[in-house]
Amino acid sequence: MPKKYHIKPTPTAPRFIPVGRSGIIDFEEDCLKCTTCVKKRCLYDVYKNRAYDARTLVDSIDYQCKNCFSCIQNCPRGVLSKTMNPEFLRMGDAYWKPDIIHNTWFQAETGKIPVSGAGYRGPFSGPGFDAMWTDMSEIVRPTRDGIHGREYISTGIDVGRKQHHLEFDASGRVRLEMPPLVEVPLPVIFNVLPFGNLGEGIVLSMAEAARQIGTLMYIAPETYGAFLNPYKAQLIPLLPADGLDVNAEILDGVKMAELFYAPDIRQRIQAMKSRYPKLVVSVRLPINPEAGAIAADLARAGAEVIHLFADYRGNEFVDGDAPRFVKDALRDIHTRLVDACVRDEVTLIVSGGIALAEHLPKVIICGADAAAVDLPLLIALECRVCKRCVTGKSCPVELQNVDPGYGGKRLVNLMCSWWSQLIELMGAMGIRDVRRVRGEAGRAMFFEDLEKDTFAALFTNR
Amino acid sequence: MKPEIVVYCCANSSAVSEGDLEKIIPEDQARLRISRLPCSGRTDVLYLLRTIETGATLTLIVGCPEGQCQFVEGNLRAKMRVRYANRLLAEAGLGQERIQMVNIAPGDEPAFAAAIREAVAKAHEIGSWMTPAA
Repeated sequence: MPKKYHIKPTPTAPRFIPVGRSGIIDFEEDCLKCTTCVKKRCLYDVYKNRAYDARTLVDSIDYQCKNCFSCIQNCPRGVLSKTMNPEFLRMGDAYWKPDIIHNTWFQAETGKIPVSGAGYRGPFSGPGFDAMWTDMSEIVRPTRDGIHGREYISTGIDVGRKQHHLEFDASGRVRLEMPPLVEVPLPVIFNVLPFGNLGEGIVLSMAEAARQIGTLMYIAPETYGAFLNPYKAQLIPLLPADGLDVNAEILDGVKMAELFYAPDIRQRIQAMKSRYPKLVVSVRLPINPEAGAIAADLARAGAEVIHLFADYRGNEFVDGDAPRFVKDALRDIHTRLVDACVRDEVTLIVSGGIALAEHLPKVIICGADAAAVDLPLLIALECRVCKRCVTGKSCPVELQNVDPGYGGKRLVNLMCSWWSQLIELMGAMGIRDVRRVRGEAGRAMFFEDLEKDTFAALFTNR
Repeated sequence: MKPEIVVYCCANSSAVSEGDLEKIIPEDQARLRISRLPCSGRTDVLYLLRTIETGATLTLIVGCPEGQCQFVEGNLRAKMRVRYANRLLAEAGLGQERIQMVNIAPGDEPAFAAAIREAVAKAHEIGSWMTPAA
């Protein structure tokens, strides 16, 4: 039997005590000094292992506590109470919520799927990706041990131009020259970071993880250096819109390169192709109201890969206060390409706002072939999305000193968890190849569509 | 030497950010670090001593006015702990009341700013307990 793709996690503790969700308040002065101390009976030994980091002002108990409330309920004198940690609630921003950061830390530390044991009492719909539900109704799905062992479930994709049909010459030989393809075993590519790229350690961690899991990573020319030479097979140089130097050292030995979109993009791709015929050349196109038409033109003109990018919160680039979210814009672009009969030929990579493992299958269902992730990688390296680095201030978790060995493991753990969740979801949908998930919008429900179907006839003015 | 001040701030009393602190005290006058707690009663003697041990010149705890604590008596507990921690510091030869506590009503920004300014003035007056490297 051929070998199955597998990502092996290595539990990797964080360097700094993470900011925890809970805030335990201890009125220890009232302690009876009884013999049934709940602190000694903690199942997770959080009181025994309690540590306080006076440098970052973080208490370990807030992160280690599993919220079982055993100590709160069982203390005979009731000296303990529990609430939310205000430092936790302040993390991130309106899109990168504390829960997302916390979940990502857990996955990067353990490589396991985060499970909420206390049930889900939250809302069932929300903005962005939360307005989308995937189909889990496949009754004859493979069993769980099947998904994670016996069965073949492919998460691999081919990045590049696919031929629509084969042509044969008079002697019956295939007449076409096959365009170059890059195989990636996971539909995730590491994007350039929107902020927080504080040094070689982070780039090397990403390169190391990309090599271990077999994926690719974007690299901006200003970040590139000789230290990345051993990782050339993983790199996708991101080249500027002007001043293209086809002889640049960064292009030597890479499988794929990306150009920013400009109206003369075809000539520039041609220049790249004539110098490196085996190179897959991608076009980086901002998502805006014109992106659909441009993408269709590019695909008709023979583009191999189009990388559609939104801002780091997943909004399209548009003036005004109602930008479309990446999933909605992507559905529109995907449908346009389908209507133009060119969708199968071109590979779509999408980035911006992809924060959680569930966003990966969702963005694929909306029409992407692969997702390019950025901030989750930085969060896996303990980033708190405080954005102090944007204003040139010091990083509270010293990201500039990340060791590539440690960072690589954390990123592999995160990707292991994302991969496990992807195959879990594919198993539940009864789909065994991630290529078939692409554009399967019929296997998902969109809150806005349902709301419109149900209530528009009743409540909108005709 | 620039004094370092750690502010433990009850999130119910004053939910300030680092940016707000910089507006009160410019960065070149003092290094201010802030930790928001669910209640001032969350402070522990261990917290207070460890912050002084790691080089803070002064520690300021900001709690709600007495009688207005959401946890009923968290601010009173904090007061007791501050007293105890200061006594321990005095025993160790640092008797300058390096741990201070103020009670500020939610939203009373002028009082908060005044408390911070006072703490910075005091920190400048008593100076760091660490001997400067020769």
